[in-house]
Amino acid sequence: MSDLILRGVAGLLAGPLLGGLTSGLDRILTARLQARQGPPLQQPYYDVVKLLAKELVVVNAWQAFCVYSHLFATVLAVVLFALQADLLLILFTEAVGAVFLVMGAMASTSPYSQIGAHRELLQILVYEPLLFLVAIGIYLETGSFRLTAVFQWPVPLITQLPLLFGVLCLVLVIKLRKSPFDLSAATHAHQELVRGLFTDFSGPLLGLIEIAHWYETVLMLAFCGLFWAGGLLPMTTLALAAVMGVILMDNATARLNWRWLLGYGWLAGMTLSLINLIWHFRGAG
Amino acid sequence: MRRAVIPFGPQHPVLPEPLQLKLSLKDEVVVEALPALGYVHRGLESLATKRDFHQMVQVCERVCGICSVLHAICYCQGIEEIMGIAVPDRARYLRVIWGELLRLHSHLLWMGLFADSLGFESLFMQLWRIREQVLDIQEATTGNRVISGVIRIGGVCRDIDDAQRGWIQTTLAAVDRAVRQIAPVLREDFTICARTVGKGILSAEKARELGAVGPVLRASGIAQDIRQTGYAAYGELDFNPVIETAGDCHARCMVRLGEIHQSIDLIGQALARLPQGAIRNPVHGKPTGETVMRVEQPRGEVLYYLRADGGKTLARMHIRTPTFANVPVLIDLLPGLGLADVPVVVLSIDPCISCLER
Repeated sequence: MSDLILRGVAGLLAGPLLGGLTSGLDRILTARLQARQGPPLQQPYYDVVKLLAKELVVVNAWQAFCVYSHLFATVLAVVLFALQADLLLILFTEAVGAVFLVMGAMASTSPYSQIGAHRELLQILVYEPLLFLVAIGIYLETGSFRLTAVFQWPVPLITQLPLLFGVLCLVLVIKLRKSPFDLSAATHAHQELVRGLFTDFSGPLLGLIEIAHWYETVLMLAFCGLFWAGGLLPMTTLALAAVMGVILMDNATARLNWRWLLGYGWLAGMTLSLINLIWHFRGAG
Repeated sequence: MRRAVIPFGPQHPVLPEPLQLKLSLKDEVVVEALPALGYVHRGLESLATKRDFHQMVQVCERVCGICSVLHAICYCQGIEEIMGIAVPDRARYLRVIWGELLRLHSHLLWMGLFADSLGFESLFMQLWRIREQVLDIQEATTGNRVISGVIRIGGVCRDIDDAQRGWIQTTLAAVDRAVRQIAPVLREDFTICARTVGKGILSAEKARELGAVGPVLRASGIAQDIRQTGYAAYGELDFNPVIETAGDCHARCMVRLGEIHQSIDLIGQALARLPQGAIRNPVHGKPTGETVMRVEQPRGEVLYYLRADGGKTLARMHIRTPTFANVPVLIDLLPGLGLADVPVVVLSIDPCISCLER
């Protein structure tokens, strides 16, 4: 019991700690790739503290409710992961959080926010089926959706499911809102939708969304780490490699549009997933 | 999705200056684009009737920071024509050098903003870093980074010595190398091509019909460049207009890329042939008469109409800037495009709102 509590607390702390640090590391690496100095590692914390200290201004109560629900669902997904719960349950919880964010953006009448919300829905339409295919691949390999079984599996999943790991990296690009798929909201707001999905959120609510984004980042990186779940070091190594790949891609590409993501991105993800699943199924047969 | 109206500007992170486009969208496709202007109108044309015609050189330079030298050159050439003032040969070459330095840094600035509008932040940073070297030359030779303030009626007020000539050529060689390193990304990168090739196509016929100027016109295959008229020292230098034929956003980018190398070449030629002698002739009397003068700005042809009636101020000054000529093109190009393509197409005409609104 005490072990479960410890794991739950670790999950709760992982978001702000690892998510914030990953965000800080991302900003430094991005700056160095652009030959800039960049901010200090702890800059994301300064930003969130400043946002939380600002006056609370909301367009309507529904918006605030959606942000709290988004944060709750995302934190719950990370805690469930830390408790080594069922993979499908974690994915559903994460999806609920993502949908609440869209609903919050739709609660505003701003056209930037509305179009950002529509694009976010399209992104969800692309990455959720891919995430479930990744989960199915893990199930086919380990024989269970429970993370306890995955952690006890003796062979690194990446050796059996390399294409699915690639698909997971594609999802990571979308979830971290990086080029070429920073479509519904770009980090620097230099796009046609300004801040897109987040345009009408401000102050403490935006701070909470940022914290939820840290949890989302940790969850996605933990998924990446699952592919080499032989201990904390290999998991961290694989997760860091995935982050580095995403940062490199962000700095080496322009933003594509949602039609491209929905057409080619989704098609590529589905094709890779199915090839890996068929390959694995035939190998098992 | 039902029809939505997006107020694209006047304050928008993609736009470097305040221009508003009211975009009517249906399913993220632009149905109609209505421009709204007037956010930075300063009445500079009217100032010509209140300020001494010598002081107007400084005013014209401030029509727009990024086109500063060329506004001043156009105005001064107009006054010189009215008053029959001959400009010393050395000053004509110096005007070419500073004019091309301005084109160089303007195109690099534009390319950075263009990359930023595509969400390619690292390319934006690299291009602006290269631009800093050009600004260093501007600062060393004129005393200012952007608004140089060296053009005068009758010539120029600063000179370039032999030591600076060598340093400028070395620095520009480094700029040329750096741009050549980046050029393949602009030319061939998959994501850039996916966002620019075939977007906002302007045919040669349409370009003529709408009165397009500058790189927008040349990207549609029309080899028209006011520098071919030979003003300043361009008549004594070897160059041909850079043209592309596709007429899309990518072609406009390629024209400007080609013009960066062309400007470096022209500065090299001007430095090599820089004649000895005076840099400024005295101005006596007051202007009487009228003229129309044109020069090629980074964004295209700028036209000055000047009328003087013998007083110390002008009776009328009118400026037609390249952005004014290219806005109808933009309004024609936007309908039918996706919302994500709007910043790319808007940036592709290199809008200069300070120039446009004067």
